[in-house]
Amino acid sequence: MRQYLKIDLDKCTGCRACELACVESKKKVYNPKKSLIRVVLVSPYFYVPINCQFCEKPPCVTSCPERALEVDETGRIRIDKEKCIGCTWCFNACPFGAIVLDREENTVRICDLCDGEPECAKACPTGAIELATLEQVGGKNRILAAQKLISAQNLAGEILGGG
Amino acid sequence: MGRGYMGKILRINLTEDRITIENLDMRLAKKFLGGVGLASCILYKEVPPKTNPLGEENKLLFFTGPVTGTRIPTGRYVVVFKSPLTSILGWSSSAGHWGPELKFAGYDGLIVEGISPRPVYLWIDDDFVELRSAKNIWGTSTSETQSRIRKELGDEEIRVAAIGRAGEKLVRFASIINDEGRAAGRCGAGAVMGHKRLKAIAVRGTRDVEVADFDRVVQLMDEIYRIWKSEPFARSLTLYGTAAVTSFTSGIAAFPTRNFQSGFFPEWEKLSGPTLSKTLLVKKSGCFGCLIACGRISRIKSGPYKGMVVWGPEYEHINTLGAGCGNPDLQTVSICHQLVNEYGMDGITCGRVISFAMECYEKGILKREDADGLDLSWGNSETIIELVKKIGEREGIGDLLAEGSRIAAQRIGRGAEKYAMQTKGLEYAGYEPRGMKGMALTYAVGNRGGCHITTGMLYLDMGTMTWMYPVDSPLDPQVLDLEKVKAEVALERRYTVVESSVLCKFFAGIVFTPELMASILSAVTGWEIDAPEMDRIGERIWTLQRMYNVEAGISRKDDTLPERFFTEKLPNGFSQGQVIDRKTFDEMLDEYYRMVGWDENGVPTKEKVKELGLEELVRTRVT
Repeated sequence: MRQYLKIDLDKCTGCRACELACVESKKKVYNPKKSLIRVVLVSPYFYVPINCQFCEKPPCVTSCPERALEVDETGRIRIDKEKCIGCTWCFNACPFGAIVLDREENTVRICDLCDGEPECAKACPTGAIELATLEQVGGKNRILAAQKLISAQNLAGEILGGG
Repeated sequence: MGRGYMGKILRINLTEDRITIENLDMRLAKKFLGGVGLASCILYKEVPPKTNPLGEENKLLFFTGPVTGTRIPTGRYVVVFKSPLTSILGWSSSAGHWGPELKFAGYDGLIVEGISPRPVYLWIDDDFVELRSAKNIWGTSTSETQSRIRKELGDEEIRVAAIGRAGEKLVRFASIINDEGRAAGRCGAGAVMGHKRLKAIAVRGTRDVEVADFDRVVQLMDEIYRIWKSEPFARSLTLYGTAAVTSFTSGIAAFPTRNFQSGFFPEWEKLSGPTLSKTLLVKKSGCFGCLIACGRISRIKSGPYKGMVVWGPEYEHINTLGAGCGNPDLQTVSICHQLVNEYGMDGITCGRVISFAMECYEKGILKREDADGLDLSWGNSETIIELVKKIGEREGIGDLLAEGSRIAAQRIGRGAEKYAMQTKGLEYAGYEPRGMKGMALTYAVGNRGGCHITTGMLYLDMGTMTWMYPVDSPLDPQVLDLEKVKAEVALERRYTVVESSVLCKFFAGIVFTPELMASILSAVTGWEIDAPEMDRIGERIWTLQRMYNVEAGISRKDDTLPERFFTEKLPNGFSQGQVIDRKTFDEMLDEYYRMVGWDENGVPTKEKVKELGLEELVRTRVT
C-alpha cells in the first residue's frame, strides 16, 4: 500500500523540528541541509514541509543513467548504493527538490518514511505531519464531505434532536 | 571539531575590509561557554568600558553557543556591544533561524570592528566570506533588505539579519531584525551596526553541528518532549503567544498602564491573548526546533494599514504601545509593532519613550508646539503611530525621543526626569515592580539595565512557574524579601547560562530544571558540568559583566528605580495601595550584594574575583 506524508499547512509553524529529527536519526549529526524533509518559507507567512512524494511516475527513477533507483512494492524509492555514482540527474529531475546528495557516501538519498515510522512526524510538535495512505486520506475527506452534506440538508436534525 | 563548537571565529574589520578566521580559545569556552558569556569576555578584553559606543572602537559580537544548532529547543544568537542607549555593557538576543545558520556555516561567532567607508553588507557562505556593496539597499526597511539580499544572492533560503532606517539614523535603541520579524531588540545593537555602515549579514551554512555524546542528547530530547507536553504555561504560550501574559499581569494588577501611573488597565481584555486569537491572528510561528512556537503572525483588518502583515504582536509591545500609552486598540498596537520592526527599533523602549512624552504632555512639561502640533493625549492612536514613524526617521520631536527616555528627559529638563521609567538608561518592559516586587530587584541590579528577562523572576512573581528555580508553593508577588533575593541570585546565574548556550529563556525557563540544563551542557560539550558548576559559570559571567559596568562608572547609586515606585501607591486593582518600601529595598540590596560577593557599593570583591578565576582578566583594582 502506497504511503506518504500528509501535511497540514495550517498547523505547521515552520520550526523545522522535522528537519532536525530526520538528520538526527539518519546521520547522527545536526544539519538541516541534509534533511530529507525541508520546510520552505513562502513569503509572507506560509510554511510548506516538502519531502519525497512517492510519485506514480517518478522522474528520479526514469532519469537515472545507472538504473540505480527503483520503486519498491510500497511505492518508496530504493537506491542501489553500489550503482549510484552521485551524478545528481535525479536531483535535477525531481520537481520537489526532495533529493539530497550525500557527500560522505557520494550517493543520493531520498525519504524512505523511516520504513513506516517517520521520525519527522514523531517530532512535529503540532501534529502537522501524518503518515497516511491515499485510501485513509480519501476516506477521511469523504466522511467530512458527507457530514457537511448531511448538516447542509439538515437531515440529522430529526435523528439528533436538532443538535 | 565536535563537542558543540565549530572552533572558529570570524573577525571582520570594516575599516580595512579585512576578514580573518581565528581559532576559538577552548580554555575561554570552558569558562564562559559561548553566547553572552564568551562575547562579554571578549568585549571586556577588546573594548574598554569608557569607549564611545558610537565611536570606531566599539565592536559588535555576534555569538552562538555550544547548544545552538542542535535539536535542543531553541537555538538563538546573542549580540554583545557597548550600548549607545545605556553607555554600559549591552546585549540582545534573537531567535528565528539566523543563529543556527551561522553555526552551520562553521562559526561560533563573528567579531565586527571598525567603520566601513561606505554602506556594505556581509555575505557568509560557509568558507566564502565577503563584504558587498549595500548602496542599493541603504534606506530600505528590514523586510525589504532581507528580501532584496536573498534575491541578489539568488537563494530564497538564505538567512539575513538586517538593520532598518532607525539603525542607519542612529536611533539609540535601534534593533537588528532577522528571519522576517525576529528581533535582537534591546540596548541599541542596530545603532552600532548603522554607525559601522553595516546594513546586514547574510548567511548560508551547510556544515554539521556535532555533539560530544549523541545518544545522551537524543535521550534528553525525549525527556524534554515529555516535560513540555505536561507544562501548562508552555501550553498557554502555544495557544495565545506571549500575549497570554496580559491575563496574568492584569490579574495581579501589574500591567503597567499610562507610563506606570497604574498597574491595572480596565480595558486589558482588549489586549489579551484570546482577543488576539479571535481577531487579527492568521498564523503561529516557531523558531528553530521550537516545540512551543509562541510567535504570532497577524494581519490588519481595516483602515489605512489594511492588509499589513504583522510579525506579532508580542506581549511587551502590547503593554508598552498599548496599556502603557493608555491605548486599548490591539490593531494600533499591531501596526506599531510592524512599524518598529520595519524601522528596526526596540518596541519596548519605543513604547516607553512615547508614554514618557505623553506623561510630560499631561503634566504640562511638553506642549503641543514641542510635539510638532501633535495631541499627546493618552490613548490617541494616530499620535502613537505618528510618533513611531517620527522616531524611526528622527524627525521633529522624534529626534529627541530617539535618544531614549533618560537622555530625552535630561534635554527637556523641567522635572521630566521623574517620568523616565528606566534603570541605567534601559526602559522597563511590561511588569509593574510595585505589584511584582521581585521584579524591583531584577530591574535594579540587571547588568543591562531595567531588563525583565535577565532572570525568570517574572514567572515567580506572576505565579506561573520557572523550573529553573522550583519553589514548593507560589511566592507572594507583593513581597520583597530574602526569598526573592535568593531567587534573583540563582536565576540570574542560570538565565545567563541559558543565554550563553544559546537557548531560549522562554523554553528553557519553563521546561528545564537546572539539572536538566546541566545535563544538556554536559552531553553537548563533553565536559562534566553539574548544576552547581553551571551556576558557577553563570556567576563568573555575571560578575565579569558587572566589572565592565563598574569600570564604566556604575555603582550602588545606579542600582535603583525611579522615585515613583517608592512614593506613589498603585491606585487600583489587585495591587491597590502597593508601593516599594525604600528601607526594605535598601536592605534587600545589601543582602543581594552580600550573597553575590560584592561590597556595599556594588563592586565585586577581590576574593570573589579570585574565587571565580577572573583575576587574570580583571584590570581594575577591586576592594
